[in-house]
Amino acid sequence: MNDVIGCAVCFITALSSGLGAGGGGLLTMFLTSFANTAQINAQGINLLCFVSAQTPASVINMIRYKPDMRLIAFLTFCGAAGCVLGAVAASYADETVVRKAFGAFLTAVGVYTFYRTVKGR
Amino acid sequence: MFENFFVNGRFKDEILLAFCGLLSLCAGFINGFIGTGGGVIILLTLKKLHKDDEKAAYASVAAVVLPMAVISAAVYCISKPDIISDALPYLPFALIGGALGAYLLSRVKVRAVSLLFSSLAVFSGAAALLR
Repeated sequence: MNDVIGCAVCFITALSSGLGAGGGGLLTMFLTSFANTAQINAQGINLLCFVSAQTPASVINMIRYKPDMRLIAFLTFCGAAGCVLGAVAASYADETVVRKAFGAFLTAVGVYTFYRTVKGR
Repeated sequence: MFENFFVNGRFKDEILLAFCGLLSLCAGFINGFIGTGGGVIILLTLKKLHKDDEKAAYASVAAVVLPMAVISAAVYCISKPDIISDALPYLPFALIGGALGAYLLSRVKVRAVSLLFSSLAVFSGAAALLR
């Protein structure tokens, strides 16, 4: 039963992600709370789902809006270095620390996004 | 979109460039550490660079965050290979949901979806903090 609900949560968060409204962290939350998945594994599943969900949207948007590839290359290069550091740190960190960081960040982003949406910015 | 930011193919402002690079590094670290959240910081970075074309900014965010997610996922899968088999049942639903979202982008009001998901994010984040 949890698998069916998990697939539904994945579909809804991917839909929201495709719409540009975010929502990626909710699948992690579902997997850790209701499917007894370890925090690190849930984050890895969430990342793979995000890649699947975002690939068609990114291709469509890049063709449609033609963003500046020099800037994208620069930001991606800097971000990639951080990704490796963060993912390696997560694999060595205590699971509680990672979960608390995840909760704190998700709460902060939720409040920020809600405020920005209400203010229309 | 960023033609005012470059002069003869080079950045105009090295300090702003360094600041944006630092923000991207932080976004990457957070994306790798908690498996989400890089997009918000990249969006803030791009808003610092340019304010005119919001849709192009969102397209840039997606183009930057996608490779960051691929790299983070690769590191996770190397350290815990069972993540790949655990994720397989979810991937088709993610693919269909993402494509449908991109298709519906210009047809639905994203504001309501954004309000709903930000509320859920606050609830889920608080639950993770209190557990």
